[in-house]
Amino acid sequence: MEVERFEYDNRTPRDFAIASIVFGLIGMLVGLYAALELVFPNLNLGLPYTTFGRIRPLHTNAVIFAFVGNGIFAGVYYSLQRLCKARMFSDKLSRIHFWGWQLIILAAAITLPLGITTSKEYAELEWPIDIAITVIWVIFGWNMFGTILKRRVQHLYVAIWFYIATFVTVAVLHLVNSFELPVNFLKSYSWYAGVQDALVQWWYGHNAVAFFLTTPYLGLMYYFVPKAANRPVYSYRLSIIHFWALIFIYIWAGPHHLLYTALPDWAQSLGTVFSFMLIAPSWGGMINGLLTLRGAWDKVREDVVLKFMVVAITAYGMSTFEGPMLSLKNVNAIAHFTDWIIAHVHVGALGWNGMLTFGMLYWLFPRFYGVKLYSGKLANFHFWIATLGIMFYAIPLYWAGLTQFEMWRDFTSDGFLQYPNFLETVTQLIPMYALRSLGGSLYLIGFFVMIYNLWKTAAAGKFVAEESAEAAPLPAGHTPGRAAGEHWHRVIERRPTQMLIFSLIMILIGGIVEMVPTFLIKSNVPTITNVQPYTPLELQGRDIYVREGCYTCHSQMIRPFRFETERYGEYSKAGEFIYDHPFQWGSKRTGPDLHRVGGKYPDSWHYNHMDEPTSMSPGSIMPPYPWLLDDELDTSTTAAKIRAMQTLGVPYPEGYDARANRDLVAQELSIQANLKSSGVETPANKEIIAVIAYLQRLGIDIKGEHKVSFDGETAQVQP
Amino acid sequence: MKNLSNYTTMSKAKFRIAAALTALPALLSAQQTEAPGPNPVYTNPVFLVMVITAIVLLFVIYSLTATMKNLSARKKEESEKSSSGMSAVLVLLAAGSSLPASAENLMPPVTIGGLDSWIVVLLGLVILVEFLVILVIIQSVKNLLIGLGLQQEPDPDSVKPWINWKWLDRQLTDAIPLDREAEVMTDHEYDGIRELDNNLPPWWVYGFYFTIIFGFFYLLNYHVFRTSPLPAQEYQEQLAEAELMKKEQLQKAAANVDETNVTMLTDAAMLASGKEIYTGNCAACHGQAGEGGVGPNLTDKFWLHGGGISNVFKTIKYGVPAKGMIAWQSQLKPEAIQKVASYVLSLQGSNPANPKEPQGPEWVEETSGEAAAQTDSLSAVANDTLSSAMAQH
Repeated sequence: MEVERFEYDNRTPRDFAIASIVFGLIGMLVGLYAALELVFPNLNLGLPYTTFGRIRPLHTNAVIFAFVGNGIFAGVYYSLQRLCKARMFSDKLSRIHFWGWQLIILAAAITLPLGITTSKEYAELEWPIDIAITVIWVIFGWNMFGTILKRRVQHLYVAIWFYIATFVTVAVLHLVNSFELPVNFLKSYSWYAGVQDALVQWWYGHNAVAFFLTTPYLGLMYYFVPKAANRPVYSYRLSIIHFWALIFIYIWAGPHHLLYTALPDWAQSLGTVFSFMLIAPSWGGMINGLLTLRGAWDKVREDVVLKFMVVAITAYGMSTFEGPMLSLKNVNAIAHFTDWIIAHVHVGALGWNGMLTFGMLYWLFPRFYGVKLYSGKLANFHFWIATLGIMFYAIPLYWAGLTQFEMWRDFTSDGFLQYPNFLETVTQLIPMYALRSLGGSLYLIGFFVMIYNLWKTAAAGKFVAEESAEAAPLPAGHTPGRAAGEHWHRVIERRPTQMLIFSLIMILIGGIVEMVPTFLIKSNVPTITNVQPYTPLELQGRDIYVREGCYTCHSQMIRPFRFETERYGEYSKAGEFIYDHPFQWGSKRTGPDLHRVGGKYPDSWHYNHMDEPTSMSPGSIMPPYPWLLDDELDTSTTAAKIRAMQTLGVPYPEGYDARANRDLVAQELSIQANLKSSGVETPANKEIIAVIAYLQRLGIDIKGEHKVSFDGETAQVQP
Repeated sequence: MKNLSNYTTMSKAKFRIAAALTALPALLSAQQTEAPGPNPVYTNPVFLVMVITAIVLLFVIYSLTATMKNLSARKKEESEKSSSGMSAVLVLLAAGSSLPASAENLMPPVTIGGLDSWIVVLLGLVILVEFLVILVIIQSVKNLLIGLGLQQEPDPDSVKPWINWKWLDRQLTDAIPLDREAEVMTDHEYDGIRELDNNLPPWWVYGFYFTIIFGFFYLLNYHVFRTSPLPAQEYQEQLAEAELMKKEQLQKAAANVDETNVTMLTDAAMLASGKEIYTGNCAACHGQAGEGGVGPNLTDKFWLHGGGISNVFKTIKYGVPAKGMIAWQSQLKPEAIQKVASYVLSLQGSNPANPKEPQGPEWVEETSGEAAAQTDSLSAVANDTLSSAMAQH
């Protein structure tokens, strides 16, 4: 067979690698800044753009989609070409993919601090950016699949199975979860409401962890670990079993984010049992990675790349053991809403994704530039300080989580909450938050050292943009069936399209079984007759609540525990959220739950509290929101928002959009008058009035003492 | 000579660190004296043990590095391998010393063995780092000794390792030994990567079966046989249990204060404790001196919901949700409400600065019959909801 000569494209993976470093640095700095804001609440410098609520999504999006995302693409573009013995399908598509992805990140970095957000965690970007993501993702898939189809190696290596599964699943997740109805260019409402929105969101959220932070990185592990160790992969059979089991089981696990919530019990239980089963396939990956190093452990002592990889795989093993444990109801009851979860995800993010990326970068740069790594010592220093950083980050937060849960739960012997003031349970944690920031700083110091080291490496060499290679093409014609004595899986490995379709089927099953009944069977969300739509002013206030990212610190989900109902009121019911597009249950309580805050405090309390939280709650770590008192409410959007809600099935009367602003003003005036009676003078058209209207409405419908009518002259709120 | 000077600068630095560490307890105790508490932190056994451990380890590090310096000087070679670890300890100490300032609050801290939990975590991390540093130094010393020819490099075959890796490997993996690897080598090859086809580790296989069986039983347990309670039922059980406990407690508590039998307290200690409750819970709305703010003035003779100990007790206990007054009965015990109500009434006529204008009718202490009528009207107000207040405006 004639040998063909061709070039590997090193420019695209190199550019992705640099982008990963740049955005990793930015994303982690933003994370550190957000962490410090919990210690020094005024660190936002009085600006709306830098409040915790707005930059926490910036941090998560930057580290997931910019740091890890670019890391995935760097690794995939590098390894795929070599595993297929083919140059990428199209240089043009590679370029479009690279720049498109960076522009999306740029758009995220601009819109999120401006408060342009859907408030769905890890999917906060608004609909025009969602469309851009879809286009770029398709281009990535097209380019990848094109390369696979013109490969010169007959079988697909396990790394490529993971790349394919990543591609199809992320596409499905993104499309389903981002289903939203635009109100205008920068605002949309989630198609789903309440319980259903929560189910879709956490099906997405958990599988973003699975198929963005895990499967592509397992693929990278399968390429870079055997390469760096120069050892054969431990077990082919294990690869097959853990790959298919992992993608099939992972997709079911989302509801473990919603244990003890208003999600139907059967869906919660499915989430629990599938999460528990997930230990085995996850550990299958860890075992196959670590045991590939059998006979090469002496190399681990010397080679810093392997050190990073060993810690990465170990961290993967730890967090995939912890995850299933956290999915058990009784453990989840403790950890949910506390810093335990923050610690857990950072063991995964800093340990697994961070360390594997670093290992990969230290391996790639010398090869990109045809030189040795500038300094092994500095890389070693990076390794140790990053490992220490992870410990300093995680241990204080585990402690903080347990401490806060204990304080939430404690009752005195005569049946009173031991710590009735939520704030007590927060101020207790501030030293832990300080220690955590220290851990993050250590990790970042290592990151800076790596940048210097890689910079010097690049400067010492010359970039090899085109790396020549040669291989024989595949014989044309029919793909052979199963040969005698051949493992059955080899057949699929010769047929990439089958691989793609089987992966798609595997990942669709779990989602369909959980979602379809929740959407179609009425008993899953029992109707509560008293629950009515928001008034126009409340709807506007809700959108401000979304804009400010209140959900990053405040939940709206009271769990059925005595220690929660004593503190917050009656536990939350599924039927209360049917008009919540999107849901605002939140996932972390840095501040108290707000689901039943309606009517708890007077309007003037909220007014003063938003202006300066410490005036009403001394010691509070919530930042002040003075701009809400100054900025005028934009009522030009009201009609469009009402119409959008009608399209989504919210029962406002026909033609209500035209009357909505009249009702809005009437309610503004009533709140203004109420404030005045408490000595607060304010114009009625400020944003704060809308926020107060929304907060006072929260969780009160179920009491049945509150009626809103949208039929009369004004939306009269009656006793 | 050079060797000696090296020593002295070294030990100076170490002493500074040791001094910083020993200063830590003093620093913490300074913090502690502000808060009322009989036990200063430096007498706490947990704290002492942890600090002493940390200091002992620091001296171990010190002597080890000294040995190492000595050896490396003999080898005429720079090898300051411990510097990274030490700087981490320093950073830690610096952070530790700045922490108490931010931890300042009036709340009772959560403790472990009578110690602020964050101190335990911090000291634990310090000790952990020190252990790591020691391990690194020991390894470096070993390497130096080998380099100097003072110790034989261990022969990998003759050394008995701590853990018998080969045995463990056999038990845990069911894999083909390394030297017979060719037997399970497949013909797969991707960019130089080969694949073995080892057996699946048995514990992994059985573990997987176990999780699947667990899943079935879990679902059967909760959804078919319903042998364990689902969240809503679990909640009802919790409530019932709490109700029982409360009843028992009430029977035990002889003095069970409520609005029908509450009396005004005049004892100075009781009022002081009432003041503390007031400052923590009420001052945000009613002002530090009771002058009013979001809530009404409490120092004048005018009361929206009736003056006198019984009415004030009742207003605090049940709240007036329509007006934004919280019901405190779930947060304050009856005795605490009695104390704070008594304190509030002790403010009558105190004329604080910036008083809020009077609200409600003037309260005149009357005979018992009319007082009862007043309380009735109060409960009517208390039953109002927020929405009625909104409709009024």
